[in-house]
Amino acid sequence: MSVSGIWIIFRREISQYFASPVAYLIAFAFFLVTGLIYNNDITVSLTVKPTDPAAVPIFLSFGVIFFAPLLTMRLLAEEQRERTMELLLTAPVRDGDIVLGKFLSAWFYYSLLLGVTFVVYQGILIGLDTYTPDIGHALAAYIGIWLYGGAALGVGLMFSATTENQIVAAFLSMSTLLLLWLGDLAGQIVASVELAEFIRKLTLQGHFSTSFASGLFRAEDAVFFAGIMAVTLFVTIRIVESRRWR
Amino acid sequence: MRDELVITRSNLGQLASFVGVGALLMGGLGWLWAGWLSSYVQIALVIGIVGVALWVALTPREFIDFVSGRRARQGTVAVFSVLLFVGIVGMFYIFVERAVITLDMTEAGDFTLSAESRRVLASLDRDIRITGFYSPARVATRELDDQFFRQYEIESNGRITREYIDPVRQPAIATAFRAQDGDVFISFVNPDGTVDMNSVSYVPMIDRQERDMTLAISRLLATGTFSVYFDLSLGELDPGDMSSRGISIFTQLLQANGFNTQPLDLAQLAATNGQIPMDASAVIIARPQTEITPAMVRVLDDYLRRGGGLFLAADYPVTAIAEDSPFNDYLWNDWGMRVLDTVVVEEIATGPTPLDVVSAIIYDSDISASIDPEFDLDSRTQFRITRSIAIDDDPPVFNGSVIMSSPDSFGETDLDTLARTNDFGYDDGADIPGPLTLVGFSSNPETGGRVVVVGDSDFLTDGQIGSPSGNAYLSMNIIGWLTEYTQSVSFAPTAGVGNVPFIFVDTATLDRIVFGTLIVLPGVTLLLGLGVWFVRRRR
Repeated sequence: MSVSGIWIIFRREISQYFASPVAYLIAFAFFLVTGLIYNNDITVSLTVKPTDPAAVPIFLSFGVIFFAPLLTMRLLAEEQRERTMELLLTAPVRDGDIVLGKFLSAWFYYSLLLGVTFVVYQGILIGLDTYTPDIGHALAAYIGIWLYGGAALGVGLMFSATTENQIVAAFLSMSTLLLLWLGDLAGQIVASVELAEFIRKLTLQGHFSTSFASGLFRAEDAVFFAGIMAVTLFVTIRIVESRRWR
Repeated sequence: MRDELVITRSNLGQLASFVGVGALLMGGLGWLWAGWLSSYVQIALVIGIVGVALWVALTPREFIDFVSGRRARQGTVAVFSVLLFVGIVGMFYIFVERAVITLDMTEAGDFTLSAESRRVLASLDRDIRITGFYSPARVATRELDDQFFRQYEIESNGRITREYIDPVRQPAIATAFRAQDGDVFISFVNPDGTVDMNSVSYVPMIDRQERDMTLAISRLLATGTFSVYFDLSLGELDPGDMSSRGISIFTQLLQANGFNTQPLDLAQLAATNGQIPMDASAVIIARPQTEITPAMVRVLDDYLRRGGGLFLAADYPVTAIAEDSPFNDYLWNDWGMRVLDTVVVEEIATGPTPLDVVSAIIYDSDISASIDPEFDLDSRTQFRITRSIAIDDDPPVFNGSVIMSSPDSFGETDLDTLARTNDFGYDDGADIPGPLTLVGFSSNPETGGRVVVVGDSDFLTDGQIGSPSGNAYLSMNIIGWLTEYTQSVSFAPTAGVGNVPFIFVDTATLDRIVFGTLIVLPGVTLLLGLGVWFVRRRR
């Protein structure tokens, strides 16, 4: 892998994002829904309970299941369907550069949306004379959901590489992410604490809801999300690479 | 062009290969994690083998290609490189997970033990076990709680250990603890490592795990240190009576906080020239029905001179402790306060009737802790047909009022009329104008003796101790102050989840927030998208 190769692909993808009205439409929906969650939390905080600095990230821990596949379904599946993958594979960039460049562009776009919500929403709370928000807690929750999102995008990209059908890629991604999300509830159906704990350790929620969302940064959770990203990207590279010998 | 979804035999074979290899991988990792071939690992391995068998059966050609030839070599390399990579990542994760590296990012340090908790842990001289009961359905709660319990284990240098029990799989142990799913208990540990069942104490986990746990440890350490004696020789309220007129809830509250509760026979001690036991941290006389004789006064005086604590809940009618009784004279002469032959009437009733007196003026002290009706209305105290207490302005000891009635109240002195017709009214010159003392205290710094007098006992009864909550606060605070228990078992409030202030904003500010976050931010994004679409369309 080379940095210049990754950079070329990254720039190409990013320019596609910002030249496409769909990306803005996704951003519009993202801001609208997170805005609703944020305002609901503030309204409830007036009378019922204190504010939750992690309200938006907690919502996104579910929302990302549907949001991430929307961002990634196109990335490799479209290249295959449009038969531009062969062009890419013959370009002077390595397979790893293609995969990593595409992943980083999706993660960058996601980070941008997340960053805007953090700055705007927390900025508003900081600006209130009568309230001091728990920025540390919010920051932990945002770091968590940023890594969580990266892992979800990795899963989405992996399935995008397996098929040329975007719908199938999105469906497989959503199903897998939903399974990884629902796994947190494994304890409701299994009879063994050890098994419930083991399954929980494999889930996305299990590494977010009791740590990042509560304001606690746990290295094991960061490693888990980074590990999911690394594994899915590695598998994706192998899948792309397999086109050369299949 | 429409995308068509066609499922072929090849697709199924591919799916079986993924499931098979995935299950084998999961089983292998599970084996590595658990260290033995558990039934779940075996199930995963069986699924893996079945998946691979299906792969062979559905797409034998691909399988043969997979295991032989160029594609096989490439495929094998790819699969094994993935497996190797997953293994490396998994190993790294297990290594980091066992290293337990955390960073508490909350402003209030919600996940960091406070200096107060560390002070309590530094005073540990016995091993303590935290026993949590969590079923599989509560693994997330267990994980959250464990983050706190782990800190206690670390900060206590291993003096505190933790154990988790599944109440569904081990119901006998759960029954021994009288535990339900999600309950947490602490106890001392016997030299052989088993739980000392006599010391098992329930930890109420509300929303501040640290506060709850540290207080529970403090209570456990204080267990047996404090003994409270209930006198029953004057026909007082019975600590074992579970009716609405009894004070069993008050007794249970004391026991739950680690107090020993014992009966006392003051009359017999007076008759035999006996002494109140040395271990008595406080003596409670709750609504005596017969007069406290001079001999009993001598026993009580001896006890108070030894640094004891006396809680007197006097009440109407006044026969037992009349204004001119020997005990009242003793209280006035030695402790600078006495119970008056009056009943407090609130002219502007704040309780159900003018004779239900709600705390109006509350002086800041340990006895009035948590009683703040302005912040929480339920924390008020409420007395029924209450006698007022006179506080000496020039006392022989340190004394004062804790709770008073409102300035609109008065002390009705015509108790005969009140008893016969329930009539009351302020008579200038005869009645005492408010505010009047309802709860008074005295302490003698030289001897350490302490006395608290309340002009009512109904607030202690099972029917009223929790309604309002301030009655329970007051009763426990009184015992806490008399025995100095409060100094041993305390946890200063710190900022945190439960204390995060609510937002106070006006409607205009709220409207601006809604406009900015729901109209401007998404709106600008949508306009940008429309602009891009328009530019692309023109091209």
